[in-house]
Amino acid sequence: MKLTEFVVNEAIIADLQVDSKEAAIRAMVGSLKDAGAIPADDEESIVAAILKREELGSTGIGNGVAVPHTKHPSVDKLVATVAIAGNGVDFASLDGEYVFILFLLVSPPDRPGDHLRGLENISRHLRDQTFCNFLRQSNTRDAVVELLEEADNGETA
Amino acid sequence: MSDAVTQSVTVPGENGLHLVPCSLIAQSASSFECDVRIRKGAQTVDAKNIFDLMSLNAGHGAELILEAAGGAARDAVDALVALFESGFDGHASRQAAQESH
Repeated sequence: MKLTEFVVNEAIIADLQVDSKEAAIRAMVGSLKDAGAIPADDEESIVAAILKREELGSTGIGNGVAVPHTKHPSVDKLVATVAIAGNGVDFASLDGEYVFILFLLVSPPDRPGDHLRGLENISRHLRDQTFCNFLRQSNTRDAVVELLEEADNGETA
Repeated sequence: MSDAVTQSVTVPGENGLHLVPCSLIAQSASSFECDVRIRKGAQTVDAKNIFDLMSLNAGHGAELILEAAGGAARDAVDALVALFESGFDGHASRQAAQESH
């Protein structure tokens, strides 16, 4: 599985400017809706499910990265978007630091393997500090897409 | 190393080692000073690093080997075995119930 197979390019937010975790999640889900990757009618339900998941423990997993996610019956394949928050977002991360890179995933409830492969793929790249640094410096959608393509082709991670 | 400890475990829960189990493992392993690693087939990762753990792509039923070396290695492995046996304290099943509506 490649990043570009499940990250919806049109939903990438290269300049996320929000002041809360909930606002970040709302903006990213809204962007998936605007890109046509999730049904408009399910936007609120998806936001609610992701927020509820955060109550179990923050998906801010350190290194300036958060991976908010949920399963939801409105999608029939894994879809994701990326946001870069130049000023950082307080995500109640495990390490107490702000997050600057967010990958938001929505996966079908009956395919846990897809979700796991998506996480595996994202974390394999995000543990590479160089990739994280480049990603944080990407301030246009095209730059983010280019970096994801390079990662898929093994050029950065 | 004479004080190295290894033990095999099976991944519980239909969702496998997703983010909640990985963060619990990393948290538990990090509370020990010794090296703690998890092996799946040919891949060995640092059990204290959540990104490493997620890159294992360990689904339900996957066989893993826990390895620790150094002081309190036995305690570290026992703590992780307890986590696996508890099904990660019900987190996985709670999440599945909540996410599947």
